[in-house]
Amino acid sequence: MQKTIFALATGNELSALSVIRVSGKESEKLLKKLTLKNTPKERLLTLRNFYFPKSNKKIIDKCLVVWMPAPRSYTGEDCIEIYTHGGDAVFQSFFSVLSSFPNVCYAEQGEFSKRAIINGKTDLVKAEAVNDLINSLTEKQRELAISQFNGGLSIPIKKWRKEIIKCMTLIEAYIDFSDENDTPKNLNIKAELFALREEFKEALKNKHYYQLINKGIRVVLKGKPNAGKSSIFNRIIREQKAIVSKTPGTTRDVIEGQINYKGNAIIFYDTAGITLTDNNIEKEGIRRTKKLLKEADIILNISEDEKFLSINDNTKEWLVLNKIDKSGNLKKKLKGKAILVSAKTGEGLEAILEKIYLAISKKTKRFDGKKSIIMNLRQANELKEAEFNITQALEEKSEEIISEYLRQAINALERIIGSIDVEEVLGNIFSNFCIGK
Amino acid sequence: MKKVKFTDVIIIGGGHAGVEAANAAARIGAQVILITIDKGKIGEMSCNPAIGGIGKGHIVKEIDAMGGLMSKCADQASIQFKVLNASKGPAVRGPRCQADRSLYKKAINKEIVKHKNIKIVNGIVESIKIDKGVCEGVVLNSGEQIASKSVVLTTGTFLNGIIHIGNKKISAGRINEKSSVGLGVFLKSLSLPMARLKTGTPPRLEKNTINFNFLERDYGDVVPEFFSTDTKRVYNKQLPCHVVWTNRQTHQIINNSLDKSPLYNGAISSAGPRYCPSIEDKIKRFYDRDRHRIMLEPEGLKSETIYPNGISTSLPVDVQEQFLRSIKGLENVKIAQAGYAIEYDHIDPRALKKTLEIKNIRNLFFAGQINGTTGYEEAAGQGLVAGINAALKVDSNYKEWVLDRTESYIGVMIDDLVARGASEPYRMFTSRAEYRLHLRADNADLRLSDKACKLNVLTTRRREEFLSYKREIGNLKNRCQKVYISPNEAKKLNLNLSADGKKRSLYELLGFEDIDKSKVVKKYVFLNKFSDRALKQIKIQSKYETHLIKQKASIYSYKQDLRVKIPKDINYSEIGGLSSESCQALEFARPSDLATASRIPGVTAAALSSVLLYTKKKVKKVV
Repeated sequence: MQKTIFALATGNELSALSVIRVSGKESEKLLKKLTLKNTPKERLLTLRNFYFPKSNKKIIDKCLVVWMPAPRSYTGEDCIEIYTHGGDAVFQSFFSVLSSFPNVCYAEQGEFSKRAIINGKTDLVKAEAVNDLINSLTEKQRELAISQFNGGLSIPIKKWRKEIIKCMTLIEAYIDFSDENDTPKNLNIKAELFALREEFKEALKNKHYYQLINKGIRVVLKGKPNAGKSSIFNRIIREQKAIVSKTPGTTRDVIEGQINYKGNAIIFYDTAGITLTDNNIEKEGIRRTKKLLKEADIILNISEDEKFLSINDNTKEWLVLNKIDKSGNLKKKLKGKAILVSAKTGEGLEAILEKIYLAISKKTKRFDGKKSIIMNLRQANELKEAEFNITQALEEKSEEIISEYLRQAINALERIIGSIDVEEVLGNIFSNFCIGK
Repeated sequence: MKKVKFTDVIIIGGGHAGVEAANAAARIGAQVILITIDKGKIGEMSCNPAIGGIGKGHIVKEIDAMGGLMSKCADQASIQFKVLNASKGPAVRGPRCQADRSLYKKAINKEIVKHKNIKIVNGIVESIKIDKGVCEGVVLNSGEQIASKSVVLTTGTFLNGIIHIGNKKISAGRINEKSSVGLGVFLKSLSLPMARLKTGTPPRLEKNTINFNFLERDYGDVVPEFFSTDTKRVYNKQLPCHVVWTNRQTHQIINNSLDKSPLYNGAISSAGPRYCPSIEDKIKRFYDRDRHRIMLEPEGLKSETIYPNGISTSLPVDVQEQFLRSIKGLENVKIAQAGYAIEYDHIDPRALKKTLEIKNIRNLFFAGQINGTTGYEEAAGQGLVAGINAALKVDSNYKEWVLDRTESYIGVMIDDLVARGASEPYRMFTSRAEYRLHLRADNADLRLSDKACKLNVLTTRRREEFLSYKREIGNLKNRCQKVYISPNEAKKLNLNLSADGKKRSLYELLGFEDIDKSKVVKKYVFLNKFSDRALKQIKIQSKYETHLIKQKASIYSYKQDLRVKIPKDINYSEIGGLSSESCQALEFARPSDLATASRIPGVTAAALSSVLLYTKKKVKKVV
């Protein structure tokens, strides 16, 4: 039984729309189960609500979808394409919903193309041309991937692989040579497997590094209402994106803006000032702010008054004193204790950017020598898969089944580094394709 | 010149590969001539008096599923049945028996002689007739010629065999038997890729010189597990084995004489099996062990000799006797036949197709030890595949008949051989099978008998029995999947499940080890309508269910790769982007498809993509 696969077919930058492509036998069933409606007319863009399964119509997104039954589709299988709203959050919801179905999983690199070729929908010459195109457009990312490939995650993976194989060797000797009296009477690999699992867990913690580099560092502006957060925000992103007024609590929703600074993507978030309020809209804004603060890489704690400066100055949260154009004295007094800026004149803003830049360098440097860096969701998933199988192995009693779990764990690791594996030959061939193509 | 005889299939050699090939070809309906140097040695068990074991037992069961010989003859000759790994999971249990050599030979001979399609010819093959790359028959050293549609060569270690006992060298196949030097010279002239391997055998001991009192006994299973589903009873009196141990003195004696062992004085340089080391090897490599186990296996009910399993050796006879006599129970032992090492030529199996036909000579097949394998079971398994294909060649619409690694151990073995060659004598292990949980001894019939039915090689009775068993399994599974049981109810069946309120099917619950079978049968009386065998099978399937489902997906993608055929005439040096290592490896093995190519050492993913690209381009041009 062949699995049904899905992937994000568009890039993962922020965009108005994202396209999720699904291919395989389960496509139509998925479509019906998620839209709770009949299959739309084939090859016709149709508007549908998508719901979380068994959620009493809790909506994921309202979007256009097109149903392309086999063989008239890109892969030659039953396909659907869902034109969702852009952004990671929507996709993450679809990701978890789709992968919760049995026999449905996220596509391997190039798997859509592989299926298209197997089903005779395209030939390799065409596919190769597409591949070249994709490569030339993302040359820099490819370079990054390859440098990572040569010295990065593949080193610990090879080591882990070796260690699992060592355990497997013991099991196999125990199974295949049990009649020859020279193999151990008892199998004891628990300690090794336990240690491995801990290493996997540790590595999974590093998955934010990739985001830091490829998606950008997240800087959240916080502070009391009317501290001038929005003014600073607008000034930095050089756009009047946030409404600025003298009324405290003007900003209620989170506003986002991205800049490039010395080759690094920095995303700034302007937030609602945290204060006690009865206003429901403001309350919701504050709730969102708090959530964002948890996820932030850097928090700029902005204040216009020395009295309001919190003492909470740590590596993640920096104190920023705004409106220093108003008082030269203050400037002298607080030098070194806070970043002093003026949204009005722009003074000190460059210093903030420079400080962020240094922080990024420091953060990434921490990872530079580190080998177990996870680059993307796929790698994280495979590593999770490996960890899952080790956990299962630790709970299993039958040796031949333990061995099976270890084999699965090795397979998952091998899929990350792309070494040959009995089952995945064709998949590896197209490993230079981007997912979903 | 003498008159030329005609037949469909010629089998050269009457060992385990030869007889299985002859029998399979005959069952398909071909006229078969089996040529052997010594008629009296047909079905000889030249090494240990046992058949089956871990991995090997799986092969015997598969031979049985295809209606073959080895399984039923082993049952008829068995003087002890024992399932190895009985305490482990069903997928890795290996049925095995101690076999009476003469009874085994008798059973094989009866089957071969009684078959109306098989004729036995006593003779030595001097050469094989080949015209423009097509094999046309054989020439005997008497000058007699036999023409045939196909030839299966199963000459075992007879090719340029040299026996080593101490410093003595004897040119021979097995001890006291002639080796076919002429055929060896002829094969060399074909310039097939050849290599040399060695193997060894222990001395045989005179039974009445062993003191069996006080020796530990090793009995067979109380409830015997037969190899053949046709076997309904135990044929012979059952005997125990006895266990003896080497000691420091034994090791000292061997150590002092290592310079007299051809393995260590440089006389033998070819590779032997790592997994079946000689006693010299064991002492040298595992010097910290203070004892090694020797299993004294009876060679037969009436046999006066004992086979001491675990001490193959090529030391001089006097040293063999000396170290044996240092062992408790063997103080006065006499050697009936000395142990020896044998070096022999084999062809590089990468020159073969998966049908075991050699790639550059049409209608010529190779099976057994000549392909670099070791073991009766491995030989017989190949004989089966070669025999079937050799017989199918008679049909002008011949289509290759192959077993792949997703469906059988025989398929795993042949796939390994043609893709990877044999750098040491190839023996089957369960760990070689990545679909091990699916390829079990207990479901060999369910895996293969449909194929046998298609070939029409099963007896009518056997076919009907199989089909009804298959239906029974289907019905039973179906019924069990429809009964749902809550954790509370499960408790009454001796099962402690988490009280999650989740109902599980009876099928699911049967997979649990702890389930009380008698209580289940009492509660669900419909189970009584089904046979014990079917119930056992369903239990096993249920135990592995989640893994089997997962493997199905991976089997599917493997089969996809199998479908991508690589043209026979592909010129690897023409393909851009191949590293020289990959190019060489591919050039040598010339794999038939992408799945096989992927298993060749040295072939990278990048190389595979280049091959696929090139193949697709070529195919497109033709279309």
